[in-house]
Amino acid sequence: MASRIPFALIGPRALPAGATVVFFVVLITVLLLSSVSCVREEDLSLEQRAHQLAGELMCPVCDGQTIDGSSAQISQDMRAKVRERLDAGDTNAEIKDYFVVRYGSEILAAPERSGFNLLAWIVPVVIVIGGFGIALITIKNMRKSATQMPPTSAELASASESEDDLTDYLAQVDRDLGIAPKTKTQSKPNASDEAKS
Amino acid sequence: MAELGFMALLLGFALSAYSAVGAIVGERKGKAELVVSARRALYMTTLTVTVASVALIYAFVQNDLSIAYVANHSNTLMDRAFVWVAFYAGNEGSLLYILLTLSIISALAIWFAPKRLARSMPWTIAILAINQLFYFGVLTFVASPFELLDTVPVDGRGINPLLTHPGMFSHPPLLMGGLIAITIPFAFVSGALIAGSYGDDWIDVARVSAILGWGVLGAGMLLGAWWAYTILGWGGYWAWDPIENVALMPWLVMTAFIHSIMVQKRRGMFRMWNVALLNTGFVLAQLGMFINRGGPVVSVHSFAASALGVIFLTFMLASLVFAFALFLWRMPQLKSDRAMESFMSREASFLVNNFLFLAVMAVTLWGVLFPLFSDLARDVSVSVSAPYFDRVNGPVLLGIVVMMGIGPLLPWRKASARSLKQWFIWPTVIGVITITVLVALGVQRPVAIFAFGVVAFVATSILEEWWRGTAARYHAGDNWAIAWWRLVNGNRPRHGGYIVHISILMLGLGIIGTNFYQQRTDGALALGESLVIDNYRIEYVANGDSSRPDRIAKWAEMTVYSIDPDDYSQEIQLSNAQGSSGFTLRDSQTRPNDELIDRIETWHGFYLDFNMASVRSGIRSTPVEDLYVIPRDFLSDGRISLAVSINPLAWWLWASGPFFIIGTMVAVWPQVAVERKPARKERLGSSEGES
Amino acid sequence: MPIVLGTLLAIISIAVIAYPFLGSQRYRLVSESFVTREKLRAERLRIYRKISDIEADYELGDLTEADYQQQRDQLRISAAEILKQESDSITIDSRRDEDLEKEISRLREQTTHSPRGRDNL
Repeated sequence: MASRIPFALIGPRALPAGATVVFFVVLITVLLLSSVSCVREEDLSLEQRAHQLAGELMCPVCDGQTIDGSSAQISQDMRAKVRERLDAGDTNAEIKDYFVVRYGSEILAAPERSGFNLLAWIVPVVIVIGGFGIALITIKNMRKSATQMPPTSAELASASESEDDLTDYLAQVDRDLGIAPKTKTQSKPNASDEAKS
Repeated sequence: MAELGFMALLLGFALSAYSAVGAIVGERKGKAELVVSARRALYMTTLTVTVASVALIYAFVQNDLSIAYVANHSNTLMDRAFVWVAFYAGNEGSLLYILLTLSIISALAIWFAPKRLARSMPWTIAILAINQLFYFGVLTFVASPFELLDTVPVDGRGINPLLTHPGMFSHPPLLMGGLIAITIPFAFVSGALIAGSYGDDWIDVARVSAILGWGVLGAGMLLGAWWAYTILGWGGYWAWDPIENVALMPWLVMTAFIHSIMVQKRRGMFRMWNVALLNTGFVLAQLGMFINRGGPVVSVHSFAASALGVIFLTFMLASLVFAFALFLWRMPQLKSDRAMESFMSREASFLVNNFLFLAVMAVTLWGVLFPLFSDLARDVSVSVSAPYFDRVNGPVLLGIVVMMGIGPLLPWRKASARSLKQWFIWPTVIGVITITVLVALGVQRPVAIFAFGVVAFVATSILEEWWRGTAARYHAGDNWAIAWWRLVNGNRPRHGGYIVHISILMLGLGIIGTNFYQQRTDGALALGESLVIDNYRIEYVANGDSSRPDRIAKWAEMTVYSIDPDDYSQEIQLSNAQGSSGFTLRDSQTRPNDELIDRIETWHGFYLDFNMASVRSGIRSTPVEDLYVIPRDFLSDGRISLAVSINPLAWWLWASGPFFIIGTMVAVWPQVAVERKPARKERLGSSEGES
Repeated sequence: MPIVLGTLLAIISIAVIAYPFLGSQRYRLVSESFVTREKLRAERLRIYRKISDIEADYELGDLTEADYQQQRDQLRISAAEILKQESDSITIDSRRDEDLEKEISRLREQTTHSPRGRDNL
């Protein structure tokens, strides 16, 4: 029981709550950090913004590529157009709108966060939070049933059979494992050597 | 040879149908001869697919243009080495390749199956035979690679230029092989469930075959990324396109499976859960096959346009129904031996890791299906691509890396013995130091700094575990290397896993570096002019023509200098004012501190028949950063249009590959049985005195 | 030529799958007791593996002395229990008719010679 001392602080009963708190602290930190990471567009050079925008617009003639990634002629033209609009002083949103008007909403590499498309962004959050909830409840239920669990076959065996009945067999097990009978603790290194040989 | 190929496939169709029926009837009626015959039929399908494959390759080598598939995927100009690539360059050939892989691994699996599974083997054989039957049917009646043309063309269309890369020799075969390999553990486990064997008899077979398929799939994805990086010429390596996503999803589920199977192995828990994971992995692999056949973009239109798509979708739905009907039927028998005892245990951490993997999978699946959903629900097309997946999956992937550090430090059952403080202190300290140092150095991007800290935390936790285990053995008298090797050897699944974890950390470094710190600039250079970015000056020194009848191509050579920014302070100021990361120099004068460090060659080709450009980027790779020069185009005025980027830490992406493979091999390498010799022998008194 | 090769392939295939019905060798489904013994043996080897894993954990400080002793003894007892079942199943078999007896000794031969690595597949 001495080994439990380090846990006196949190205590076994409090562990689940502790684990949950730790998880949510990490999760929230990550989420906060990722929102911080949205660098404001005025802090970026025009070239960086052009590069960023090119990664957010799809190449209309390629399969699943952004114009940043494609060497098709139309992508080159679109990249030039992006740069032209940026030089003219347009905001990122205005440039995206410019392309949406001409090519439709599928030109955007990620759906907008509004209207029906909001679904695309909400469902992942629901999946993550719901999934985590299910995992927690599963563990909790498994822990609850720990007390009601019938003993395993091994435990039954040890209960029903007196060790004497099994003496011969135990000796055989120890021989198989390379343990000399009745000297369990000191023969430990032998046993692990055996496992490796 | 077309006739031979077709006959072989037709024969295989009959053999696999016979095998499926024979195995089931033989088992039900207790006719051993029939079961043996069915098993032999499944060995014979391997022979017939091999014959068909050889016939197709022979046709390519002979350039037999009367066969439509050959005419569509090769021509006389093609480098003969690419016959292997041309073999699976189209739908029909890749299906033949998949069937070849499936039949070979099925035969191996049946051959090496342990005897204790004898009761369930007829069912396993039947499931494998039905899977083969499906592919034989498609290849014989729907998409035959041996279809003949009415009029023989003068020359073939040629191979898709994007496929002419060394990476293509191994990336698609590994990817397809990895996807189809999930069939093997699925067949073993389903067979055992049908036969009513609920214990852990299948656990080792399922674990080993699952890890092998998983490793092959992982290696295939990594090679695909490498191919994209070196050939697709956009400076990236992972675009989250549907083809990549459908390979990633089963891989994630199988990753969850090979973790949670360890819990079953050690503690007799999670049986039901493991079966469900394997079923999910198998169905997702079928989804991958469907999307690969039905066209790269899931939309109502491409789906309707492809007959193959409908067939594969049907097969996928059938596997879904079969797998989960079987699961529900046998669920009551799949109870755990033990219960979870604590949240702070390795069991619980495995469960959390499983949940995170499944979350990434589910979110990715949602992203893949959302365009289809949007189309159906309101007839509006949307795209869901990299910016979406980066944002929604990024945090969860980081969470997985965090768990990779925490999980292995928690002991089994409950955290009662091991002092958690003692074990967590070093990883935490090193992680915090890393973050502090990076902040002190003025590194930007908080998320990336946090992620570097996490990587340091996990790396320390692995090294700490190795250090302690090795030190204990060292003090017992081994030298360090032997002590470490014995530690690894003592529990290969665990330590092989750690080696894979290290490869994932290396991959993580590359992903963080390239995603957060990439610098990029564009420019057009005439001969003798230079482009300056960061601390590099790239001078365009030579070019030449390498056109062929089927392509217009040019190469360009550049020299790379490392520079002292002070020499260029004027130009740098000017370009910063214009909002550029780099600038062009019209003169090629070297400044005092310029130092020649490398020569790089780039290549740009345009394939007339395909109306498609293909490029080779010039890459100077170091562990710190890659200098990546993409030739966008050769302009009509003689200049070359370039996109130059600096990709920090990209080298680590590819360095992780060997670690991934070695770790997988270590984890899967058979452990020598502890037992010295069959114990029963002694009990029977046939041999005495050995101990 | 291709047609000839294809026909040949078909003939070979039919010969191979028909052989079990025609050959002199008699096949029978693997006996229940043999499968049971194989399963028991595999189960026992898995327990041995667990014991060596527990020893490794104990060396690393994952387990307390008491936990280690308790878990290991429990596993040793279940291994012994399985060993007992294994030898019981053989004695029961040996009391059966001659035919079965023969088969068992044949199978015993097989298992004795089966490569050890198999169990880990």
